Order: sequence, then structure tokens, then C-alpha cells
Amino acid sequence: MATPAPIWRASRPAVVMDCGTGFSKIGFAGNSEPSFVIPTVLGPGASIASALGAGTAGLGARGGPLLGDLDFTIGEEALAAAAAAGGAAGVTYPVRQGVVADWDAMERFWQKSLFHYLRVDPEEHAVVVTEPPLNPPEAREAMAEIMFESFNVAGLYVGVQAVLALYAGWASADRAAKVGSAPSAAAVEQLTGTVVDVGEGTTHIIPVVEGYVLGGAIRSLPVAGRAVTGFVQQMLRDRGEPLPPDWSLEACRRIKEGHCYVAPDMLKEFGRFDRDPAKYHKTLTLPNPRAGTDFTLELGYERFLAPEVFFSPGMCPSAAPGTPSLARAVDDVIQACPIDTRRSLYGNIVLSGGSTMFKNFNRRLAADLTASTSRRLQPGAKAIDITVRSHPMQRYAVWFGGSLVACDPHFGQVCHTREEYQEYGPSICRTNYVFDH
Amino acid sequence: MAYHSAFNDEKACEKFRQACGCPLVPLNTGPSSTEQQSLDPVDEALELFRANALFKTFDVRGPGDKLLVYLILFINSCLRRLADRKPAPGREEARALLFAHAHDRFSLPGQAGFPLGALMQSPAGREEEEAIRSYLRQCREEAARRLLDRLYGMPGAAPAAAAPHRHWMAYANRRFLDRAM
Repeated sequence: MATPAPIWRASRPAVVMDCGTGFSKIGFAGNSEPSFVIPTVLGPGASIASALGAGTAGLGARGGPLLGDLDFTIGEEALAAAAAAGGAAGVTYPVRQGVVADWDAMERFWQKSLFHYLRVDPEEHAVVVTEPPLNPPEAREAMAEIMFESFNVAGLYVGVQAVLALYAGWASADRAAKVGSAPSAAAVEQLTGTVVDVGEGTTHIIPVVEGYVLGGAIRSLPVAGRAVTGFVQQMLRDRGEPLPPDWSLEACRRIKEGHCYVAPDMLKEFGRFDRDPAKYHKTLTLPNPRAGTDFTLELGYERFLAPEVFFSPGMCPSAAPGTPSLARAVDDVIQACPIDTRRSLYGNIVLSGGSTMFKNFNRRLAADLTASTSRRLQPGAKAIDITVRSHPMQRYAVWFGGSLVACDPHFGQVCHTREEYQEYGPSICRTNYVFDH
Repeated sequence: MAYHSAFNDEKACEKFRQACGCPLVPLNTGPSSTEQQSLDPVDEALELFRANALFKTFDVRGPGDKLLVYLILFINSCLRRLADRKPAPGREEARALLFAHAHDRFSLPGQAGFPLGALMQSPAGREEEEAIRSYLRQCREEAARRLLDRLYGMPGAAPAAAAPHRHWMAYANRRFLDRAM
């Protein structure tokens, strides 16, 4: 067989699409940030929305948002169109808890992102998609089928989110400066660390040893971005703040992202608020896009209590009693791994995901972990060195890892090409090399 | 993680009189105070109230925790009593309300209506019953008095607050351990 044409060229960069429960990050390999970050949601198209909005019973009367195959929107446009249409047209969330639940909707989502947002011809590009931990092999086959059959992509690489996040952490600016060289394929095998991926729906803690994911030790927690937003909302409501009812969750999300931080100790923080109220209690004026007016509210303890739900899940109403704190869960995961890997796993804990962006998150996690490990230490044993790595690419760590992998000179060897698919079928994507060992 | 009482250590509590399984730690201020502690149970309950009231479960680790839970429930009921009055009461009105609430008839451990249920043992005899009744009454009165300072600022500080501290009042609707006094 003649040498296949290189999949990746500077003029034809690979497309990287990381679709999570809350947001999808799509862009081109070689960039440090995704070109688009849109909510992973499908909604009614413009014509359906206007028909429903006007109240005519016609096309839209009978069904969901995807009535017309071609007439749908994704992302922010979908949410706006659904709002315009009122309650009649719903929105579809194809990804639940990180796993794709509705393949039809997912295909349409990818279609719109490739053709409408990125405006590429998939036949000329390789595509990197990401998969959650514990993804069934059937899901990978379904991904391969959609990509090769519907879009006829030049190549497909299904990346494990944890390994990509580790790769991103490894290649972050400060680390690369110390090592002094760009990461190579050989160095990929030396990836060892624990990835704490805190997304919108769930938190995953995934140990990776020498490039292989230890599937049996993976743990998920139900406390994530959505739980924090819900907590902010409940505290504001308890106090009687004037939150607009239809826009409250979005307003709380903005408050969370702008003003929340992690306190080293809850009790001392209450004391700080008492001693210096002017500095800590803030008054905010937020615009309400639906009504067009502004509303003012006062922020108080939820500034540090909301992110505290990660470390004290007993406070979170949606978490079942008995949910461990984040530090405890990371500890359990590492203790479930082979004993000779544990020190290196403690030494390289990488954060990924938007909900890890709270100020002092890494310091608090490191402090809590140090407390629980030092309690177990035998007298005379060397203290365990715990490093929680925070790096500038944290928010889109998985996407950035995908971008780096696609730029790697050895990408062609791991990527599944169209020719392979045509010869062998979707089973080529069934196994992922990081899981075989 | 919920915060626990400093009086849980069995050895340290031996110097205090015990009744119904809780140590009767003398309070710092109030009618029958003798010695000064750095932090007495009422102060402790007020400090830990805002943090602990958010939790759904609380494991009792010792005798000090039983008193802590009782006082947290009492503070919660005070806030609820104040929140029920609309418009929000001023300092004098609140003082009268809370004083009445503290000296209200309250149930003792072992009697029906005691919010902690079987957590505290019933008093063994008449003497113990009297001891626990007077101690709880004293704690309630002290807690109400110090709560007033937290809600309205220290007496004599300018400007005089017209309404109770909003962030404390937000806890009025929460139910600690799903119980109410």
C-alpha cells in the first residue's frame, strides 16, 4: 500500500471537538484555545421558533425541536430560539453525565458545528473527539460510524479526556520551561498522575499510570458546577434577594464565576466577614436581558460557602448523605491503585474543567489531602509529597490536550484513517490503546 | 465537615457537674456565673451556628455535642420567631420576644416534645431534673441575649440597626437535622 498522504498539515489542521455535559469546546489543533465554546444543546430552528412564537398551530404543533432535519440550531442560538418560542418547543441535551445519550442529536450537533461554526470540509481534515472515562466500546464504534459514514472525515482519533488533561498539564508553560524540550511521543508513555475533572454535571477522578488509565479505580462524584450554582441560588432565595425567577440560574452562574472563591477554613472566613463587612459583602448590579432592566443584590456568605460543597458535601442538598469530600475521594482513588504507583500519583494531581477555576481551589485540595495522608503515616516514614497542579490552560485542559496530540509528529500513527475504516469497519475504534495493558 | 464541640473530651468534662449525659459548664456571664472560661457552650454554639446549620447530618461525638445540638436548635427557633414578625422587629421588640421565648415552658430530656429525642438520657432523680432544668433555662436566656448582640450589633454602637442582620435571618428557614424546637 502506498504511503498515505499525511493527515495533518499546517494548512489542514485537525479539528478538535470536546463535547461535555454543559459546554462543547470546538476549534482547530495548533491553537491554544478553542475557537468556540457553546452549550451542548439543540433547539428549534428560526422558522419553527417564529411559527410557535406567533402561536400558529402548524409545523411545530406536533413534536420536538428536531422536526425539520435541517431546521435546528445549537448552542446559544438554540437557547435563545427556545426562549423566543416560549415553552412550546423544548431543547435537547445530547450528553448526560458526560456520556452521549442521544446519538441522533449528537450527529446533528456535530454537523452544525463542523459546517456552520467551523466551516470546514470534513473530508480534508482529521477529527479529534473526546470520550468520558468508562465509555463503552459500542459508543466508540458509534462515534466512528457517524464520523466516517456521515461526514467522511480523513481521520479520527478518540481521545480519553483524562489522558488529554494530563498531557495539557504536562505541557503547560512552567513545566515545559523546566524540562526544556517539547513533549514527544516517548514522553507520552511517562504520563503518570491523577486527573480531577470537575465539569458541569459530574466530577471524575481518574488515575493514569504511564499513559494507561486504571479503569477499576475511577470514581465519580455527583457534586459539580451545577450543584454549586444551585447552592448559590438557594442561599440568595433564603435571604430574599430580588432574583428574577426566569433567569435566576443564569444569574447565579455569573455570580459564581465572578465572585466565588474557596476559603481555607469555613469558620475563620465567617469571622473575617464579621470583622470587615465592607470588604467582603459586595453589592452587585446585574442586567436582566429578558426584562431589559437591572437588578441589584447583595452577596454574602455564599461567596465562599458555595465552592465549599466540594469539600463538605453534607451541605449540598442534592448530594446523597455519605458522599465523600473531594479530598477523601481522591485519597480513596489513589489507595485503590497499585502500591508502587501511589507516591507518583500523589505527586502529580492535575485539575481540569471549568469548575476548578475557583481561587485557592488547588491549595485547599492539597491541604485537605495532606491532612488525611499525614494522619496515616507511620512514624519515621517519609512524608508524602502532594502537588495539585494548577495551570493556565485548566479551563479547557481536555481541549488543549487534544490540540497538542494532533500537533504531535506521531499523530498519524495513532489516528484511524478513512482507508482503515473502509477496509476494516468501525471495529478499528473499538479498543483504545490506553486501556489495554 | 461539620464542626464539633470543644467539650467532647470525657476527661476534661470530669471537673464539671454532669446531668443527663451533658456537662453543666458554667457560663461566662449571666446570673449565676462564677468562673470565666475562654469559650463557654453558648459562645461556642453561636460561633458554630452559621457553619453547622447548613449540614443535613451531624454525628454526635461526645457529651459536649449534645448540648451544642440543643443550643443550635434553640438559636434556630429564635431566628424563626423573629422572622415570623413582619415588619422586622427593632432591637427592643426583639429583646422582649426572645426573652419570652427563652423563659417559655420547655420540655426536658425524657419528656415528650424534647427535640433531641433519645439523645440525652432522662434525669435520674429530682435533683438532676432540677439541675438540668435550671441549667437549660440559664443557657437559653444567655443565648438569646448574646444572639441579640449578633443580630443588632453591640448595644450603644452607632448607628442603631433597625432590622436584624440579614445574613443571620437567612438561616431562619433552615431546619437543622430536620428538627424544630
